[in-house]
Amino acid sequence: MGWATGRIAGAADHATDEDLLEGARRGDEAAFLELYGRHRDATFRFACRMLGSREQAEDVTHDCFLGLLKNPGRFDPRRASLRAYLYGAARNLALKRLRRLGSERSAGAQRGQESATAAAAPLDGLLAQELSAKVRAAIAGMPASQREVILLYEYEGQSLAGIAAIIGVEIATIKWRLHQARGRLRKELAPYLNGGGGPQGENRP
Amino acid sequence: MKDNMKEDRLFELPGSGSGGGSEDERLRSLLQSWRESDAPASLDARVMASYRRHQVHSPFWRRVLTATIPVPAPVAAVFAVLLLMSTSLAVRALYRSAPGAGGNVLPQVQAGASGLQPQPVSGGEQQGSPTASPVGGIGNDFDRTAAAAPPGRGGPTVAAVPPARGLPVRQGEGRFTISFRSGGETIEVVTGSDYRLNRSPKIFAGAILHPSQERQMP
Repeated sequence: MGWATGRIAGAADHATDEDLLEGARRGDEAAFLELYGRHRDATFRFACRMLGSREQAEDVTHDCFLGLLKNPGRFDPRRASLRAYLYGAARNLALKRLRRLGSERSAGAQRGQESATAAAAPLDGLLAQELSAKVRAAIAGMPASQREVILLYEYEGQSLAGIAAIIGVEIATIKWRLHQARGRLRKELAPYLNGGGGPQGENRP
Repeated sequence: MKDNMKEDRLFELPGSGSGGGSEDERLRSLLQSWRESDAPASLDARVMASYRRHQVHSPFWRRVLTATIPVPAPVAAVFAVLLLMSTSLAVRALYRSAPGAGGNVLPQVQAGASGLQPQPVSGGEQQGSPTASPVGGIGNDFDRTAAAAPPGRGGPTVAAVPPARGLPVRQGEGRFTISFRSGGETIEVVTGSDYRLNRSPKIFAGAILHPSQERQMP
């Protein structure tokens, strides 16, 4: 990765997120690089899965980090971790964009267009690609309230309490939405579930 | 494995109990088939450019000129009211202390001074004629001349009394309303200093006789 070559290793690696953020606000570019490197991919992946568009996910990730610098008072380390704060910011920005698009389900359509242009893959890769597209479409077809819960829980490894803090609802609500999301996915992906599933896990945070 | 997998058992998620653990595992495996690549390098360049732009220090004078202080609306409203009140008080104080301010002289008094001849009266000798009595603020310095009403009929009449003899006018002195009682009736006399008309630092007084109080003075 390009930016990683310029990354300054050392004391910054052991610094807490709060220390790095303080340094970044004072103008310490190395601190900002370290902080950005820690949370960049997770924020981007979550935004990308929420929106179904890499371009829009880039915008959201960019705005998340810039907002962190412009409005330092919004992040309170006593309330949540920086990762949780970034997820929350990315979620709010993504929902705003989805509302602007007019439909929460437009993500599925956009993603479908992108995947249609994907390069041809070998035969064993084709099955994985098809499976990935099915999962992607099934999640994209969910209401945003269920989608964000399943993404944060299954892909980002957040706890129920963590998701409740990010979204700002009770844990019981998160459990209910997760239950609904799982039921929906089971129904939509039933042929693949009965057939033994696809490639085994990746992307674990 | 993920930490939150323990929560499925800990919180007994509704979705995890009905289908059995193996179905949940299969669903998890299936979901993990959706791979999403990391952020592109173009995002790094964009974020770093924005960071550097944000960190560029502007000149001190520009920061001072463009600085903003967030003030809650109620505080701003109270501040504005206080500012208005203090401004109006300051203007009033200036108006009062200004020598020869036009507002010190009532129009009735001006008319009486310029248009009517003073009519000395022998106060108290005629029945029904007003008698002067000093009122606080003027006291014994006031020339105890009764207000005189010229002959006439109809509406309110303005009369003038002779200028007070040698009574000095102090700067900033306002106008007074003095009441003269006469047989249960009241006559109001308005006094004031007039710098504009004759620049004479003397007090003169005008009497306003209300229609019901109007009487023929001998």
